[in-house]
Amino acid sequence: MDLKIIKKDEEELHMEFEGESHTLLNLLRTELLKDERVMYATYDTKFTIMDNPIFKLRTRGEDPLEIMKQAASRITAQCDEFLQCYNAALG
Amino acid sequence: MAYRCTRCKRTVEVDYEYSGIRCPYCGHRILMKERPTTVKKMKAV
Amino acid sequence: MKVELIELREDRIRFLLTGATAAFANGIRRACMSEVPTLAIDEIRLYDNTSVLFDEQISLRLGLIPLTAEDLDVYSSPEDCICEGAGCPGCRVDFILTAEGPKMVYSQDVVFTDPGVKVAFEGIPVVVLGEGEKLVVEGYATKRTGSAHSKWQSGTTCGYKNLPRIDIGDCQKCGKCVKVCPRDVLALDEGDRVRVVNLLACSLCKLCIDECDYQAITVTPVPDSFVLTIEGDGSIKAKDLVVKAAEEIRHRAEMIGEKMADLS
Repeated sequence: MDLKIIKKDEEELHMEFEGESHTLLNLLRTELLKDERVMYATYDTKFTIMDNPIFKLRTRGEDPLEIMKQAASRITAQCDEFLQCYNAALG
Repeated sequence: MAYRCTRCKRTVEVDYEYSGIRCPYCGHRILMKERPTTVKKMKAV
Repeated sequence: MKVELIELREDRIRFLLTGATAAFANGIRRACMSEVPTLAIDEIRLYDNTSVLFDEQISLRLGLIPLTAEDLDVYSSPEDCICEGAGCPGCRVDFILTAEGPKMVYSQDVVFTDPGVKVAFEGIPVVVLGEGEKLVVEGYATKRTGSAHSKWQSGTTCGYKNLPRIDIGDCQKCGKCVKVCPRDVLALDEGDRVRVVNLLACSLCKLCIDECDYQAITVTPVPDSFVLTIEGDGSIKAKDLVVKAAEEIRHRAEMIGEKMADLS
């Protein structure tokens, strides 16, 4: 995975996710939208199999990089919790 | 280039200039191209 | 988050996931299908093929045979390999297939140089050879993910649905809903009352709602509960497939976090 910043200022971040798809980005968007400090979070791929998705995030004045980082760590925690529950369920 | 006659099953060398596509032994006009002995490389898709 | 096991077979797992978002359930489903790597025959060299099938058809059939490895981690995908995609024993498993007719060529006739790598199922027909027909093929398998081609898909039938919630209110005991249900979710008990007997089979088709003249029945999806059904192609056990899918998502999320820390 390679990330490219297309636009960045105090409250907005446009970023290209190379080789990523809905698998991760839909999860990331859902996590970001749970955050009160996020104004909008969305992503779009111009042509599905030709282009890389571009994620657009706008916050209410906070550093978007930091908010994105926190969302990513929430996803990591979710996966850990899932793996723990899953392994326990299998016994 | 080797061909094979579909009627008499013999290996045939075709002389394009002289006879056109035709088996010199039996005169049959349907010839099959033999598979070349080279290794064919391809993607398994 | 809570996980309850519903069904477990070698190639298939069904479990109830409670307290998660639809995005997470969908992430697991998508990762099982297209992000968990597996082996598949990548490229072949045909020395001889006098069978009735074209070379291209043979190559497609070979590519689609599911393969298992005792330890898949010893192989790396060609892009991440130290040979940088040139091809080396670290990212390729060579195989050979020779057959002479009359016989049926089956998947188990494909012999790999690594004894740990085998076809997942024996008895998959490849081509039938007649008297004097020959097939000599050599080639190699590589490890990739389903996003490259569906032959590398380790999860084949993966899906999820919301857990249904069926409420029966002022029932008039007519039993119409029991008859109309295509999956026998409802049944009449001794007192002729309608009872939910097989909740997990419900596909939320809502035929029972339409059939009920008294609007006594409601069927709603539980928003944070999902029934996930994951079925693999035999190359990896279904229970391990889910673990690998979750680890894959975790790994990617971790990478985003790291990159964000680098950038800020």
